[in-house]
Order: sequence, then C-alpha cells, then structure tokens
Amino acid sequence: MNDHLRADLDSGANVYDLPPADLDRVVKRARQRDRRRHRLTGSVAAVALLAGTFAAVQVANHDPKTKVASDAIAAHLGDAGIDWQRAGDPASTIAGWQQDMAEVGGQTYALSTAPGQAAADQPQPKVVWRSGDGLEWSQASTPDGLYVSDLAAGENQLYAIGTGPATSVTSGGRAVPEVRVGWSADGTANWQQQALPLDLQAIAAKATSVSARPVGVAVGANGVVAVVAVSAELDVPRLLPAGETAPHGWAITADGVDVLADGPECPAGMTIESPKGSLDSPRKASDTTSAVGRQYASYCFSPDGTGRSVEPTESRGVVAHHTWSDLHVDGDLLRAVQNQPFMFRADPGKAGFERTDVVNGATVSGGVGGAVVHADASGFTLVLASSQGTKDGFAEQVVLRSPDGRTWQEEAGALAGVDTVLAMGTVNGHLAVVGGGRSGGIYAELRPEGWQTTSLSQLLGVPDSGAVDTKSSWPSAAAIGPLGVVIGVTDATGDNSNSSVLASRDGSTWSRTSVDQLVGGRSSGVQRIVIKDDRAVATVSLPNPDGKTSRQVSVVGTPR
Amino acid sequence: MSKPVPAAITVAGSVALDFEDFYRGGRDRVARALALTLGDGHLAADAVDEAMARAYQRWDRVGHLDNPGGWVYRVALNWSLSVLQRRRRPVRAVHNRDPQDVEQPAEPTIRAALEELDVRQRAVVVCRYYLGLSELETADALGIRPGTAKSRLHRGLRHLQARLAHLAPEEL
Repeated sequence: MNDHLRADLDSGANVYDLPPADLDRVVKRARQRDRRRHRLTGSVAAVALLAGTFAAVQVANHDPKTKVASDAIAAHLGDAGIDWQRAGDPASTIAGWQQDMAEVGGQTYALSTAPGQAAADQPQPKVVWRSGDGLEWSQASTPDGLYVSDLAAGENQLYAIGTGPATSVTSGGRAVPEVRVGWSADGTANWQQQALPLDLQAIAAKATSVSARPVGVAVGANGVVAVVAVSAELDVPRLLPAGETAPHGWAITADGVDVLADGPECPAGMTIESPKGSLDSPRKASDTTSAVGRQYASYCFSPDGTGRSVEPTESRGVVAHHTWSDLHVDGDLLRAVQNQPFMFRADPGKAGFERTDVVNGATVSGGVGGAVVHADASGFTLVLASSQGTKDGFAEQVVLRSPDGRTWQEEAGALAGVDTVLAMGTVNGHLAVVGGGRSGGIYAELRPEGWQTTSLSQLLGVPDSGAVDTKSSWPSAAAIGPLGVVIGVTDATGDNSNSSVLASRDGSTWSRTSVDQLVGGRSSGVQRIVIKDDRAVATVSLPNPDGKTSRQVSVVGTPR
Repeated sequence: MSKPVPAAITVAGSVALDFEDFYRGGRDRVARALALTLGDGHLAADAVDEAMARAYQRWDRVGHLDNPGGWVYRVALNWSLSVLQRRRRPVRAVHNRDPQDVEQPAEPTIRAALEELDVRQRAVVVCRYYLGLSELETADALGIRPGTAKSRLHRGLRHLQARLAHLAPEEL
C-alpha cells in the first residue's frame, strides 16, 4: 500500500474548487437527453425533493447493549463516561486529514503543509506544527534540508525522519536523496541530524532504479528505531551470464529470476478479455502489453467468466532460471529487490544509528507497502503492510516486535482484516490498534492469546457484508491515549452517511456521539483527533453554506 | 497511515444502489478524481454530471455493475477527452519538464507530477490510488485489459516515485 501517494492524491484533489452537486440539474440533463426510456425506482424523484433537507442527522437505531461477535472482545455501545461538546472555533488550525503526531513536553506536534501552500507548481514540503491544547496550532521549525515524513516523541525529545540532500547515487538520471533522522530537545529551536547508514551506491550498481523511503521513527525507553523501505529494480540483462539475453522479459520469483519465452499473456483456453465485456464500449484488441523488461501476473478469464491471476511463467514459459546466488544478488541488494524493510537503532538523544535486521529471516510477502512503527513500555511494534496484498487490493499485515529495537521477531498470528492503521497505543496494558479493513473499521488488542478484534460496523449495528470493497463503516481519524480510545467514524447505511465519534475507556464499552449534532450541521467527517491527558479534541470539517469551501470546527470530549 | 476511501465509490454491486445515494455519496469523489486526471476541476465536474445523467438514464443496468463509480469515471473521462479534442487543447500541457532539472530536495506537487504522465497512465493511478479500486476493478472501470492496467500503473508509479522521493515503491 502506498499511503503517501494516497495522501498526496487526496491533498491534490482537494485543491480543486468544484461547482456544488446538484441532483436536480443532473436529472433534468438526463431527461433532456431522452435517449431511451428509463426505468428507475420511485425513490429518485423523492430524492430530488428531499435534496434540501439533508442536514437532518441520522443516527442508526441500535440496541446499546447488543453484544458484538468479535473474536474475544465483548464490545457494546453504552455509556463510556465521556461527554462531548463543541469548542469555540479555532483561530489558527492546520489543514488536511490525520497526520503523524507526537507529544513531548506538553506540546503536540503534527505534520502538515505550510500555510498558503496551494499553488500547483510549488514544492510542498511538510512542516511541523505545534499545539498546546489540540485546538490552536502554530508552526514550529523543521530540521534544515529535511523533507519530514514522520514524527516521534521521547521523554523530552522530538524526532523526525525524512529525506535529506541528494546523494551521489542516481536512479533514472535523478539523484537519490539520503534518509535522515533529526532530533530536538528544545521544542524544535535546534535540531541535530544523522544520515542513516545505508549503502545505496552498492544497491544501485546492479539496479536500474533504486529508492529509499523513510517509513517511520519511534522512541522508546530503550532506544530510537527508524525504519526505511528500500526498493530496487534489478538490472537483469546486465547480471545474466555472458551471451544470455532476455528479449521477452523476465519475472522475479522467490528464489531468483525466470527469463521468459515468447508466449501469450494467458494460457490456452483463457483470454485476457472478460466474456462479460464492458457496458459502454468493447475493449481494444490493439491495447496490448509489451513484453519487455520485468513482467507481472495477468488476470485471465475462462469461457465461463471465471478468472484468476496467471503468473507470466505459467503462460509464456521459461527459457532459463537463475537463482539469486547465480546472479550474485544477496545482502542489502536482495532485501531491496524484495522491498523488505531496513531497520536502524540508536540510543535516545544520541547519534550513532546502526542497522538491526529481523531475526529468523522474516519477510513481508511482496514487499513493504506501508508501515507504522510504535513504541510503548514493552518495546517496539512494527506493523508492515504487504504491497502485494490480495487480488482485491487489500494489504496483508505482518507484525514485528522488539523489546529494545535491536532484535525483531515476527508476532505469531497476523493482524487479520486490517488494511490501514490509523492509531496505535496501549489499552488495558495491551497494544491496541485502530484501523480499517475490507469490512470497515477495526479495533484490535494484542492479548496473550493473540489479536482480539472488534468490528466497528457490528458495534454500530450496520451491515458487515464482507463483500469486496463494501465498507459499512470507516474510521477517518483515531487516537489512543490516557483518556482511552477515540475514533472518528463514518457509516454509510440508511439514506445517508453519518459521522460519529466512538469513545471508550477500556475497549469494551463504547459511546457513540453524532458529530453532526455536535457541530450543528452535516459535517464531512472527523479529520483529526488529539488526546491530551484526560481530554480528546476532534477536528471536524464542516462545509460552508456556499457548498464550495469548508471550515474546521472542534469538539472536545472529557471524562464525566 | 492513510485516509480510507469513502464507501460510496466502492460499494459492490450485488445489490443495486439507490441513484440518489450513489450521486450524493460519489459525485464529488469521482469529480475530484477526474480533476486530478485532467487538471481542470470545472471540466471534470461538468463531465461527471454528464456521466451521472447517463447513469441515471440507465440506472437499472449501471446500478447493478460491480463498480458504478468506475463506470461514471470512465464515461466522464471519455466525454472530457472528446471535449478537449474538439477544443484542440492537450490534456498534459501544464507541466512537462525534465526531472533532472529539478533542484533537490524540493519536490513538485502531486498535481505537477501527475501532469507529467500520459493521461492514460494518470487515469490508472487515480483509479487505483485515489478511488481505491483494485487493479482488476481499475481495468474494468477503464475498459482496458488487466495487464495493460498493471503495465500503465507500473510505469506511472515508477515516474511518480522518481519525481516524489517520499513515495513508497510499489510491487505490482
């Protein structure tokens, strides 16, 4: 999963000012077309009439004491002992959805873009923002030359990881930036930095492209951990034995490289075309994939309409197989080709980051797409999302644990059903995660017997169909802190979507509060949640009456 | 950490959606996706409304598709491209510079980097990573072969990773 790209696209898309939606206009436009008589349910006409009344708040009917059939957590809606009220509108705030946050010295730090950065052709490095109350934000300083991608806080130090100045290593004609960690012990007034010890030159020597992406940084009592995802595209033709070529491409396998024959994309009896076809226009037969360079699996259909993923080695045939050893691909180069994480560790507040690798050779199938690293009293937790995922596009998660950041072990039992992670923390003495999965939002605790989860869809009493890409509920922001767990969630059942804050002190009893009721209008959802001591601040995006712009308002939850 | 994709765009289609729910839940998302693809928010909004009107006319069919949002996106994209062709205005004329000309460590915005892609690659990237479609759904939505979608996605991501250093490499 490429969370940064998704965030970038969200940010880029939100720059556009769209004319407001107008269902009446669309219906009239359709009728004017009058190409054919349409059959439509009567609800559409009713819809147009109801268009102006959509500020009405919808709260699903739900038995607050209904037990949820989660793996072990007997979660239910009830009274979590947290009261919510709208706060005064902030004078200064930050844009964007939930970003990485860290708290040190009573201040919360968050990453976002600098004020006024909206021009399409201008660089948009992230800057660090600071807030004492979660409501008002001011800009703090950023390490010189560092394009920050993650923040973490130790006892009295703020850490940042990002890309720094370009190295002498080039990829595709462009210099590859090094990955650096910076830290400040005086509230961002002064920063120290260190480049992480990573020999990109050695990797680039046998690759056509190489990149190093900072994944995250976490600070625990026993050290500071930085995680970097390095990727390299192997220059296979250069590595093949003398006289051997790969004119029809190659495929990367678990143990090496298959040089492909000149064959069809699908095996005999299957086609790349779906028998079902497409609704509007036939697919172009000339729209073909050129079999040059690295080849990937294709999705092929049988005459009965069923399909499956077909590896290029199956359909095209293999001319030769070379193991990694044959090609002299090993060590960091192999890890980069397989897109595995690179871990580093240092003592808190000191330079001297050193490489620390996963023991037992644990790897992430298909490589790392996204990752979250977290520190608590028991050590470090690294949640890695496979970029390969399933054919449905959902990532599979691998959880690694380390007591000190030096040695890492894969946690038995995958964090099933979680595709994205929004917050990690400690609840009931257990590691807790809030994320989203194929069926909606998930709250999970890592207990001695393994991961125990609660489906937020079931908690909210909305359907949890489990169908691909059907999302009954989605968390948009979350935080875990001294107050407990707070999740901003949108559910899409009924006539409209509803935004709520779910809050729990213990992970079992959850209160649900309508955000729309709190802010007095139909919100676009909870953008950000900060928990400071015994209160939570949820920032909500509320469209202005013009329908084109929006503003941020905050609601505050405090224990009763 | 990522922001999840709103449900309305990616609802599976075994049960037909109410058109109003679909329009209200998905119009802006699809329009922003198309704006990212075209670099023109007003054309995108107009095109999506046109596509939504066509979806309304044939909702008995579109509403049962696996991905009606993807269908609307494709119809809107095709309509937009035909409009631009009539106007004789290229889709990708805004930003086209040599990556080596860019000073480090400053990066272009995602919009600028997207505009350097071929519109077909841009559409695949937007479907996959903005609309949250799977590769197969992306191919289906755009009416292209899955292998073609995968290839375009790979090339598009490779370019974006080269231009935007903080992006993760993606195994395709």
